[in-house]
Amino acid sequence: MTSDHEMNSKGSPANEATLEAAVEWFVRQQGDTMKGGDWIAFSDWLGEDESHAAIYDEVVALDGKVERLEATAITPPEAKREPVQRIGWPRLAAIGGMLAAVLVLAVTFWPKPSQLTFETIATAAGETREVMLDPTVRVALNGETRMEIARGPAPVVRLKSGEAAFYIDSPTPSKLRVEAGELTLIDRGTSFDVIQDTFGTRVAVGSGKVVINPDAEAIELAAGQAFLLRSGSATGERRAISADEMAGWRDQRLTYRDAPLPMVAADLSRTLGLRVHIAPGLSQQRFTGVIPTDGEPEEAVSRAAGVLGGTVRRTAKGDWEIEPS
Amino acid sequence: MPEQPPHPLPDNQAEETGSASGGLIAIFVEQRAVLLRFLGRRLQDAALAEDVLQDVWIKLNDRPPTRPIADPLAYLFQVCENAARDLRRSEGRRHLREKSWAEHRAPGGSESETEPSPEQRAIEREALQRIGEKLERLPDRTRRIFVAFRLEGRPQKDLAHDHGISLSAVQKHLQRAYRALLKPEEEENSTDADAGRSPP
Repeated sequence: MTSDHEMNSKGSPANEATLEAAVEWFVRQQGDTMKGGDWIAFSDWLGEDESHAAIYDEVVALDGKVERLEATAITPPEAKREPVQRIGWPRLAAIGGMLAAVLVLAVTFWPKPSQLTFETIATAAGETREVMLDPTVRVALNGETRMEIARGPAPVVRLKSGEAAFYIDSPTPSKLRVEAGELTLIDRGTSFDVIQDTFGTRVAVGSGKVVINPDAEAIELAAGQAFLLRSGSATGERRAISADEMAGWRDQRLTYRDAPLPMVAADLSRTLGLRVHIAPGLSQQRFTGVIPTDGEPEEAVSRAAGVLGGTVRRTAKGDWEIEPS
Repeated sequence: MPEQPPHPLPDNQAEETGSASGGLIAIFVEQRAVLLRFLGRRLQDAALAEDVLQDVWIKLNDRPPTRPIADPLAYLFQVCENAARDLRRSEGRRHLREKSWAEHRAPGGSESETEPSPEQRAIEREALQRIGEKLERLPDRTRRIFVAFRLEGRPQKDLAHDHGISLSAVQKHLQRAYRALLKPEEEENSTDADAGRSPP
């Protein structure tokens, strides 16, 4: 950090103008509105006078101060766990909490990817498995799931396909980083479930919070929220879920709201270890409700077919097809 | 979601469809001098700029972005800017740690990055309070926009929509807030207003 205070205490008109320009550049960058040409103009502005870079650093430092402050504010792990959802202007006492909830990203720096060693773990259809990435990070893999994991103090998971639930019990914010499709997820002391399949990426948060794409959109998902980014879409959908809905596969029930039936079939396949399809007559239907998946897989699939308004048929290839009844 | 498009695409489309890394790397190579000049100006240190750009290059090759990049040059500048900020931030942190080592000679105190000393906490609390006080004095709408943006992480364009104003109006509010936070205390109650009044 450059000497913060010398710089602006002079308060000369020239410095004032520089400060204004520095703030303007800074805010434009935060708005993601800078095109290549704007960056070149920014570079030229920095080149105009060597004081410009120093004053610009001062703006960044002020912004970062807010982030550093938060590192002290979150020290007690309990404070971090309580979801800070305040409406309106917080009183001073609450600011620490607000910062804690929002700005944890700056605190943990992941090792460079080149320093990480990834190992691949996978489950077969119908098989589940639990892995500890470090003493505070537990991962439960649903069936037909493949991921690359880098263990260590700041573990990284690349969910290639399938579904996994993550349980983090660490006082360190941003402990775990999960990459799934186009999303990067950062935890804030939390449990959450991620599905990566042909339909897209689905994230459901059971407790705490998760930040999606912290370096870009920085979308916050709180406990009781789910997020769906369909394959090929640039717009994610957020919705509310009930508290016990997350990672329903672990509790032998899958819960849906307005889900296309082929997506439900993909989840059933993964969870039951059977190849489940939807017949053309039902594939345009959507489903809202709960499907129990306990008991024998064959029973579960025929029960599921009933819940979905159809019956199940064994195909010549040995797959299970749910068709209109 | 396949990481690569299933079939090869003509070169001129590659950037827009997700195999962005090739295009990005080509643009990096082409614009290397421009990026280096930017980092040199940004960091005011030519050797450091070389190092940072090298890191950016490695990172780009190791872990190219998975989403399509609309404006590759802007993206590369942003990555360089982020690297410059990270560097400044870690410089600041190293500073803090060295200071606390020298002052306290705490045995095994190498974890002071995550465990600030009581003094540091007191200083930071005070700084937090000052920032909070300055925020409280902001005009209502400016304050609400700043809090929503910086503390609640709402994107600028969402705020423009919420408040029914243009993006540039949102940015004006944010600029005003930052300027106020950057202003030293003594200037806030400036007496310059009386300057124009002539003595009897």
